[in-house]
Amino acid sequence: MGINGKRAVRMAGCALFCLMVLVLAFWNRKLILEPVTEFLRGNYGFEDMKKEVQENYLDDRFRGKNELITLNGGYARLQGRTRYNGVQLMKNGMITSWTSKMMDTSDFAESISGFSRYLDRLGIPFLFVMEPFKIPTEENLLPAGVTDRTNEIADQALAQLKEKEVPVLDLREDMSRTGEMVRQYFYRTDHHWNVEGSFFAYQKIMEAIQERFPDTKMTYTDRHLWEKTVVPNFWLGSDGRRVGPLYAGTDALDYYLPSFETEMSRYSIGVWTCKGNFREANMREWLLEKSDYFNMDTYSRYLGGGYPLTLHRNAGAENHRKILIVRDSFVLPVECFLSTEFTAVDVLDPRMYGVMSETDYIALNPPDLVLFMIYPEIFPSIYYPSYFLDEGKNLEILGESDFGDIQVSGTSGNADYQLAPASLESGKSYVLTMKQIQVERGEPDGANIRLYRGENLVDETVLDIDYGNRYEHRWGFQIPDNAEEGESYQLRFYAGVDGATENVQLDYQGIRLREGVLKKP
Amino acid sequence: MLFSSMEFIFIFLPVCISVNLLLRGRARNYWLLLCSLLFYAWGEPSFVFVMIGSIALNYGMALLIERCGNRSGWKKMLLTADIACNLSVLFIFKYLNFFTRTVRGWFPGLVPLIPQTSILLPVGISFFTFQALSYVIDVYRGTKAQKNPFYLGLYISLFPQLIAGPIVRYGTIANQIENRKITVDGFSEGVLTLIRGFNKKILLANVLAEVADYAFGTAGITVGMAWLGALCYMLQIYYDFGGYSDMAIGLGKMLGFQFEKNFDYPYISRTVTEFWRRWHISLGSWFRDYVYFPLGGSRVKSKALLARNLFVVWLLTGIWHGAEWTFILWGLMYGLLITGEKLGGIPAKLKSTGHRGIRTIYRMMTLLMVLLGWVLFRASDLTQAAAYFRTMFGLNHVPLTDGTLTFYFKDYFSVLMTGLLCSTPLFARLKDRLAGKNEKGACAAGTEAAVWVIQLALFLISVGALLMGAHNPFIYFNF
Repeated sequence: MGINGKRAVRMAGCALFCLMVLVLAFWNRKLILEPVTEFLRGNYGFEDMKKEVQENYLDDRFRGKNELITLNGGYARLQGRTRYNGVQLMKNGMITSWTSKMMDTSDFAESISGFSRYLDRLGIPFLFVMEPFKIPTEENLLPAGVTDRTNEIADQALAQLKEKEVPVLDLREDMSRTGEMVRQYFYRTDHHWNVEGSFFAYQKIMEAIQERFPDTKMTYTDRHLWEKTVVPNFWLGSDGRRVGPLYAGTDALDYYLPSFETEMSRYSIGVWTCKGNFREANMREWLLEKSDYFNMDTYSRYLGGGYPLTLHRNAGAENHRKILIVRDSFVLPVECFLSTEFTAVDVLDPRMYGVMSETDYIALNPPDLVLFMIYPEIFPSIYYPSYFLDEGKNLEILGESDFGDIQVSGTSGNADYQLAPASLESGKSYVLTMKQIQVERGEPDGANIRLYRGENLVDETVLDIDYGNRYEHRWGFQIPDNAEEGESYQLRFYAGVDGATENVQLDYQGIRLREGVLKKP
Repeated sequence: MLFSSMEFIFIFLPVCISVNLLLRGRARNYWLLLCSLLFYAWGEPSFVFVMIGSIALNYGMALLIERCGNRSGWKKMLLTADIACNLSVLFIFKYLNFFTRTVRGWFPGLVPLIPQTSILLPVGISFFTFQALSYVIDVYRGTKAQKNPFYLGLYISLFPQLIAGPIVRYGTIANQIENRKITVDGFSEGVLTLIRGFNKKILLANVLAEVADYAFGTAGITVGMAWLGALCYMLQIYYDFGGYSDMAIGLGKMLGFQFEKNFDYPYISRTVTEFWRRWHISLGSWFRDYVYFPLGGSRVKSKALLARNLFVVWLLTGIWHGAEWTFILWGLMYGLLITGEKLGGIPAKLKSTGHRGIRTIYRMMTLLMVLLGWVLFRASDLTQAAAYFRTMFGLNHVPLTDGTLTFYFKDYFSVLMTGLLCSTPLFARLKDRLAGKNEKGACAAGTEAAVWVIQLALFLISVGALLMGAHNPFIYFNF
């Protein structure tokens, strides 16, 4: 090679750089064209445009982002970095987040003990469940010099709760004392437990429920009744997406499905409803089929994610009890497993549920048992204050009205309803019951009842028809006490579930509406 | 706009360079002027007018000075007025807040009379003001004034060196504005220099900053952690500023301009005097040519005058760097050291001594002083600086080491070693050795290929780091 050799290499290198930049610039041209167009049209100010451009180029829409993050993560691993982009690599090869500062949990303990006393007043058993954390309590898997206080914070909170005589189930004892346990029950690249962990938690919770209700049958807690599927190297957890698969590997898709027959409903209020067998009611099929490390959160394969309020109904379950779970994201698979055991499992997320307070919901829709489940890393997170619950009110019934039956037919539309002849007052709470819902035509997934203020939806529920025909249909709701004069509230009874009322006819029978007020004792 | 930002690399750069390559002659200059103004306006649109004002002022004054011909009295007056105007603008935007804060602190009785100002600092004002001043002074000294205001605007606002240097002399660039050529070799070299600077900034400076920020931002650190933090900051500022300068020089080459290098492996310096010939070369030479030499330089009658000249230069250097006592003290520290070296004739003595050990010790002492100077530079105020020094020297009754030090040392060991090695000419010499003397040989081509492969791979990794949302400021943007 002559001097042209070196020159040729230089030119080739330069051309390659220009090509890389031009290709990435062209691929991502929309990220600037859109804000600039809005700016030229006068819809954006200069600062808005600038902010939008900067954010666009750093967010997930940047084509090539994931590949570049992967490369970057691999480079960090080669360098021997154990801490990178906010995740900590442990000695067992798993990645985790951590908290280096202690926190005061006394306000939280006070709020939960108040909640516990309230439930005690209502005669509802309560169990505080501390989910396990990925950093073991008895084995140090962190590099020298790295201190994590998360378990200490959880210990502190639990000690405060025990002091206040709140019943506690600490799953960390059986699930995250040692590195081996953590390996067994957690994902490598996500902070959540894997399906083994969630199944084990379900078993432990059933044992705890049986301690409080000795007649509880543990029908399906044997793993052999379930079929497990594992697909290796399928997804990247939330921590893994920060650093790419070359940094700490990937995780397997794993899930349990019943080998036994099931028929159930799941209503994520305001989002969607599903009725069918366990898989149809609970699984998000598209998360089981497609592997995409950066764009799919495969952990949400059960239910697809968290919702403000989810109602699981299983009329054929052995245990006719209603369990209410105050949740975080760890509950996702567990609530599905529990829904095979109990006729009703209500799951409420205080971070998202805003219709009324959690205690008002309980007063109006009393369960047989309340589980409060959080994992230790909630404490240092921004969501922590959402889990403070108030001490609750009692429902005082003032009167009741019988409305008889309401028939609703779905015609060609998909939002067919009938109004209840009810006069609803501001500041009052109501409990709606009915003897049964007869399906005259069609195969609806449920019966939707909604509360409207004018044309604005205020609250709603979906009643499982099979469940209600064995046990009582019941829905408690409240009219805000800040309603303006002249505002009218109306109850709408739908022919099925809103959005699917065509050719459905329902006969709501024996409707009774009790009116009351919620008062502090 | 930062060079190490996505919008610069994937929007501004390809558009600017592509159009620049397509244009010819004057159109290129007008295009670059437009790009430079847009580049500056992206940060804060209103400050563009400050810069345009500076351009207009200095353009007019230079023409007037040139027209004075031999009338030295008028020339001097105009020059003085120009310097006063430029420095006034600089004072208002950069130093007024500090001044009012200091006066109000020292004289509480004056508080009702002197409101605390809070004027925003236009990015790069120190750089473009000094650049403009050097132009007018050069015209005063006989350089031909630029008649085209847009060309002068281009010189002052040219985006590669607008915000953080290097401070380019008009004489260096005057001919290039009107007669430059973009060659394939020059463009390629510019690309490589740009990428190298970008990688230094993202993969070295930003990463080492994590350790430095922890050390300087955490109370109760150990002695070892304090030293590690100082060392990391020393490397961070080098790769931050040096990386930026590389990018500026690389971009200049891509546009057909040749800028002089701004850093020359400063941490291998044998004396403090040599350090300032290798660090921020353009600033050092600016003060040398426009302050030190006019005061008489080292060709003065007495040592006292020499000391005075050095004191003035280093006081101004400290002030130039920032409106805080830490910077002033930092500058004066160097003034003291360099004065000592000059008066003691140390550089010459070291050169002539046969004792290698003495030269090594002095080199280590130089590096130590530089390191301690960076602690002063980094500290937010004198109190923090004093506290940090106490920690470094074990006067705070803290342990020597702890687990945190172990963690940071282990985790950042690879980056630290890379940073230390790259701060020396080791890799450059290795590359030359591998390439061999025969430029036409296969080794030369092979080495060149290896360099490109490594730098391009690191470039992609650096972009990945940006996409992760890494914290990414430029230290010298504060100036």
